[in-house]
Amino acid sequence: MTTAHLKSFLVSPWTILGSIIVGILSGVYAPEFSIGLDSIGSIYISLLKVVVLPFLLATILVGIIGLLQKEGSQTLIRKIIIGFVSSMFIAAVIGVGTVMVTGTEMTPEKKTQLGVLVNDKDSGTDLNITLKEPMPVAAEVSAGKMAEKFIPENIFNTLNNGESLKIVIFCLIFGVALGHLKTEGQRMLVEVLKSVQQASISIFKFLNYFLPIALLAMISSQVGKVGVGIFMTMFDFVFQQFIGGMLVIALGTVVIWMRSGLSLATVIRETKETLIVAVSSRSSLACIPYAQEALHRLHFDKGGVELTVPLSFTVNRIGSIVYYAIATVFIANIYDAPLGLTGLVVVLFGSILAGLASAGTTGILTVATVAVVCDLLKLPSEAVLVLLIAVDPLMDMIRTASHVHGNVAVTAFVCDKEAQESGQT
Amino acid sequence: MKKLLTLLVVLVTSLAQAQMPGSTVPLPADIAAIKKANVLVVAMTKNDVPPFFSGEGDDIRGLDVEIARRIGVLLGVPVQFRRDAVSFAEVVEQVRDGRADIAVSKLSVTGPRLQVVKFSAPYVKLRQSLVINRLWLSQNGQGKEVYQVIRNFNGKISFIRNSSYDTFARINFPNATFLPEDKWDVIIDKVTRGDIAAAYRDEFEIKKIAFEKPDAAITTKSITISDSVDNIAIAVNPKSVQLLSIVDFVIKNEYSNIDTKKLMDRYKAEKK
Repeated sequence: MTTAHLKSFLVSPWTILGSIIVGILSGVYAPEFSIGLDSIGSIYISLLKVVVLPFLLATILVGIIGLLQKEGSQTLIRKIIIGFVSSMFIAAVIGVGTVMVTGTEMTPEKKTQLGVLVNDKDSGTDLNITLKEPMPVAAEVSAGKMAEKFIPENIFNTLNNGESLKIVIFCLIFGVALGHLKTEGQRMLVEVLKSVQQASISIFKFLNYFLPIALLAMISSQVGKVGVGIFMTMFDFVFQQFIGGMLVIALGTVVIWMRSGLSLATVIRETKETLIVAVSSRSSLACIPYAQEALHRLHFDKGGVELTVPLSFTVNRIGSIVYYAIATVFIANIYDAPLGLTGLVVVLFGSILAGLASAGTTGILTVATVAVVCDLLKLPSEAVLVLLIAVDPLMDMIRTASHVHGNVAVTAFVCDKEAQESGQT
Repeated sequence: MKKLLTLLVVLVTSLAQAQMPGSTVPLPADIAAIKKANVLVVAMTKNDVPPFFSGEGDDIRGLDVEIARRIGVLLGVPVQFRRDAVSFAEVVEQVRDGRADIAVSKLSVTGPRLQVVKFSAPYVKLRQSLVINRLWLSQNGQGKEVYQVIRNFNGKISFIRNSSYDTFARINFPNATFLPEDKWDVIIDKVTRGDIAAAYRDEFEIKKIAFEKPDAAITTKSITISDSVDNIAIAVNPKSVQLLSIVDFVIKNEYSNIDTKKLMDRYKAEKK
């Protein structure tokens, strides 16, 4: 087999599919061995992420500077805002709609099974309080404190901690300032940043050849850790999340298809790699370069894409909004608290709110933000959170996939086609 | 000389007899009464409280049964378990009225009880606990911390009728609505369903729920009150001073370090 053969084998969708299937089987039948593969997956994610930060920095800066030097930047900004707000709303509607359509009943048997699961996972976390002796006072969460997490204080610290949201905000501020400089230095810096971008992309492309192996390792270790039993008990919830995610992906594909003006097959072919990376890495950050490449291949305006993709991926939490809407209705069902129309409206807007609040969070912290919606409805989330976290390895895949694909669609909505744009101006 | 020798023999034998069981030297009244009856009557509630006491007749077992039997061995009399009291309060009454010699019945030391009986040193030291319905907590929390809601608890609280928690509840949660019940199982069902806001008992009984009704974890939350006490001790008639010192001796020598974990291990072993 020649190197070219090997390369085409490694990036073939059939290889990818095969490694997913082998990964699941290995996780089910050889859980201990599969958990041992965990580090291979972690190394791959680390390698992806290590290039993502310089890439992100370079891409957003180049995007903004390009935007400022071009006419029509205000249109783009307006479109970004429209795109974000409407996509968040659509995501919430999809979430609420999914549970309304698939609506399942919580039988006493199911409740007992879930209760046993909570008891297993939650053992030894009794709350201790005092009646008279003073209790430690918890710090109050104010609006100012909430805002603090968006504002970078020390960009090197922020880069150090990989806080993507703060990095994006820094890049926006810095990019606007740089864009207004009309100096030789600025032009040179843009060239430097473009080289950083290109170098990062070639590393991503190289890493892509190892995707099947990494995919196998990541999926099998996740399946091995969680087991399949809990998914059977939580089947309704997992199923609804799956349907919600699929609806977002389907709608997103339609939007990209209509905006690109290319055939549906081309759209699917060009975007599937991004989706696979989303599912396997469960890191939307790692998908940014893939998404941008895909949108370039679909001939969307380069400058717009380079700005909109990082911005939407970090701020516009489509996947989480769908997730929160479904999870909240699931919790309400467990506690036999009928929501009614008013309740569903609260879920709709609460999920958007929770989505905004979850910006900059990952993993368990993202799941825990469901408390924002539950608090609005006066529902207890603490016990069910244990269940949500237990199934999250799989939910995170669905969430990341719908988040990434949804925002690729938002970018397609916001950005014009390259050919069209040159024709217009 | 012969007379003197006889006298000496009589003296030595009577001295020796004084050291032996069945001595004619007068015993303290409380011990003498038990010896005369040749039985130690031990009161326990009708309802089983494993692993403290459960089962009937020869099958009766548990920590309290063991302790009572040890006291019986020390006294040299057989033990008879009296299990007709419908409440913990009635067990105390039986000891006060002399219908039972002692009560080894997972009894908590409380103010009202200390006025009518004497208590031994505690053989188990527990803390008080609550099981709260999670939905009630979310709907009545008003954004406050859990401890603040509990300190000003104003919902429906249930406990076993005429138990120590009847007393504790009225002291610690004066604004609550009190709903005493005869059976603990009924209370647990009610708090799981949300008919009541909270169930009140000792931390061990609350931990036991996780084994008996594991699904309760989703609808209820356990809260231990760390600055509270629930001392479990043996009740003795106030006149039985000598008996009390024997009971204390047994506890201090053999049952002085029983904690919640050991109780739980006993409970799990019994369940098997």
